[in-house]
Amino acid sequence: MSRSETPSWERHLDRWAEAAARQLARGLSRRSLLGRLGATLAGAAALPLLPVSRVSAASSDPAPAAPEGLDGPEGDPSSCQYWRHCAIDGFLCSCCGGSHTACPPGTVMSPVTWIGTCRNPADGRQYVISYNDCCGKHLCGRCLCNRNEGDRPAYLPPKSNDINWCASAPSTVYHCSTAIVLGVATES
Amino acid sequence: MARRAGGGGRTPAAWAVAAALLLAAAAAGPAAAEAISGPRLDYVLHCMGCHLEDGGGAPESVPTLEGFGRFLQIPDGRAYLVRVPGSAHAPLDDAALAALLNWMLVRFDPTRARAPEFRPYEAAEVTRYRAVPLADADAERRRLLRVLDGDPSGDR
Amino acid sequence: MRRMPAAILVLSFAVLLPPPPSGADPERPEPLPADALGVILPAPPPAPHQVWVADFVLERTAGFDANDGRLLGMLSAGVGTIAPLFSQARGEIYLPETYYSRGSRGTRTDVVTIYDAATLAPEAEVVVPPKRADVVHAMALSTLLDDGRFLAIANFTPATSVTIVDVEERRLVGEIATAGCHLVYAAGPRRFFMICGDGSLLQVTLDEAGHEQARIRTPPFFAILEDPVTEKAVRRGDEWIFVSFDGLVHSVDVAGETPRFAEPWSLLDEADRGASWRIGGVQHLAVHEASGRLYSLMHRGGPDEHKVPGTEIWVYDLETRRRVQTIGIRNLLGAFLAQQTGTPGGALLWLLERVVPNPGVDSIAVSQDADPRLFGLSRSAGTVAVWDARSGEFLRYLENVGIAPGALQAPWR
Repeated sequence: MSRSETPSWERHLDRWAEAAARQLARGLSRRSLLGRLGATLAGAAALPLLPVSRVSAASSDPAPAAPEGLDGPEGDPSSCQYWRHCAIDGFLCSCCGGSHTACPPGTVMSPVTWIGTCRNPADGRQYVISYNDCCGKHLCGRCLCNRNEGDRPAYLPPKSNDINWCASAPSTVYHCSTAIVLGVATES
Repeated sequence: MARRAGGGGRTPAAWAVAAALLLAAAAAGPAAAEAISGPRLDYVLHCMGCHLEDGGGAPESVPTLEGFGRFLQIPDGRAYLVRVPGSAHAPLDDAALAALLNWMLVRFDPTRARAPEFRPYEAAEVTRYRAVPLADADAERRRLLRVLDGDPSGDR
Repeated sequence: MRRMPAAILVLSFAVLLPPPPSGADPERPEPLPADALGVILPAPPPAPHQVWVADFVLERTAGFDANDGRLLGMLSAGVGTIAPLFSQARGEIYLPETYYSRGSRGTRTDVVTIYDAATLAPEAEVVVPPKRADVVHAMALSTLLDDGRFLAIANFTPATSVTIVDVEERRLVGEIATAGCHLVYAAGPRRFFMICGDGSLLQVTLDEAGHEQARIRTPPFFAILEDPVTEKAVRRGDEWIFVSFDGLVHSVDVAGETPRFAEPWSLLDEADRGASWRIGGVQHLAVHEASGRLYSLMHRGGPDEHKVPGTEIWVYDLETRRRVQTIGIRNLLGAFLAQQTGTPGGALLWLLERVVPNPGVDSIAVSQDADPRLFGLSRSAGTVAVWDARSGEFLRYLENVGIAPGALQAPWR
């Protein structure tokens, strides 16, 4: 730990700022703010992915990243609110030396994982997302993100993001998580 | 920057060529994500996480699906492929599970699935098997494999 | 020297020593006594108001005295889930641990380390199959069966199975195959159950040596597709209490040979549902066994918010199935910041609690004594709030309980 150089209060301020930003991005808009706005918006609170939450997420992001990917602007893959992260639980590999589709240097991608779907607001399609974990180095510790659309308890492993999916990797030590597009889920 | 670099004497034709090259490069980029539907989508969403795209599974943990049609050779084995937790617990109705198993047999054991004696699963059959959960799926699998390997002690 | 009489020895030292500074400085007090080297304190005796908080970055679990906030001692763990099992009868703590020979790589070894609760020192270890499940909420991943002899560990490779350890004889008993069912819940001295992927239970009974004797598979007891229960159940005697995403209470009675399921009831009435109240958190339930009070972390939100921290704790009487109390949650992040500035109370705390976003509470636990304490952990603030569990009165904060706090336990009676 090389943190001893930094004064204690500064570390804690950093930590607070991080926690506060996380809180803003994750919950403030949906719970506290709407709660305070009162009963008129109570119904709206039940809707997932409120515009407010995207606005607050955008405002807490330091710099909007360039559009990338499939079909027009989609936001910042290192942001928790990024559409592919609708059911991710862990550190975003794009903040850890990897990307949202690739593991950081020197880690190993677990082949075994769980797979879900997320809706891309840019094109309205449901994409099949594979949340492969990157393994073999200790916790990345950056961009912790927990979203749970369609997440189920650990007794349903194929749908559970609480599980460390490094379980079948050469080292089960968890480092970060990716969100890889496998295809577009289409009604037959 | 672009003005200065290009202002020297690049003609509109040169720009057009450059633009065409850029478009070509973009077209040769990553292919668009393909549409996945039907039983294949069910395989991807409910099975592939552990069994992997090629059905190979994980050593000592997730059995390979390659050649798994051999279980169809005995009645209990045919029931097993429905009653095994990965099948029985999939969030699919019986018709969808029947279609998924038939798709998997074609995909991972094409020789058996194309043999004349192959009889696809039907919804009613899946309903029947699914109604009786396996208390010990691992033991049943070992028993069936012993029978299939010709070991009489495997039979009840 | 060898034959020098003791008196001469003492005398010779007395001559060598400088004279005492008599009268040198009448204002100056006597020097401090010299300290002894090598002293190691024992752990304070187990007490109900001790609360344990795991931390997966610090790779430890630490005990705190909720009455004064002191850290009492800790157990170092390896990588992965940290969820110690406490045996009051044997005065021991069992911690399933995972180690790699090179820290994050190399050969994996899983052990159950047996700690003496009086010293917190490791006494023995049992090597177990390197398969134990690692789930971030750390709940129902291992359990001590009711008479404290056998310990069951849930495995995930991703094939599921259970490892049995005999803590009395300190040996590995073996592994039980449990495909399709996961997590472990104690259900008697020789019995545990697991939840299966169709919403049923698998109940396994052990013989006196700890080997599987019988297994029963129940019918599904909740709607697994429409409204699944969380795996974060709490136990009151023979009753395991599960709560679904939509707030339905499903009780499982494990007193008999076969688990019995009570008629479900709801934590929410129409008004609550209309106001979008729902359960949420990492450990969203706690029960005080003697009084039959069930504590449930609640917040207002939409679907898929079953892990969102709670903003209130709702208290139910399990006999009448009615809500009897609501406990508000103060701003634990404000408390953490105030403590960091060196002014844990007063006007600054008042201000910070109102200005800083309130992170809510991720996990709750309750002590089982007659004067119970309710604990609420905010993971992002690294702070635990302590309430009087009966009156709901806020008592104090325990700050700096960790960097990345995990399981919250009040294990001693």
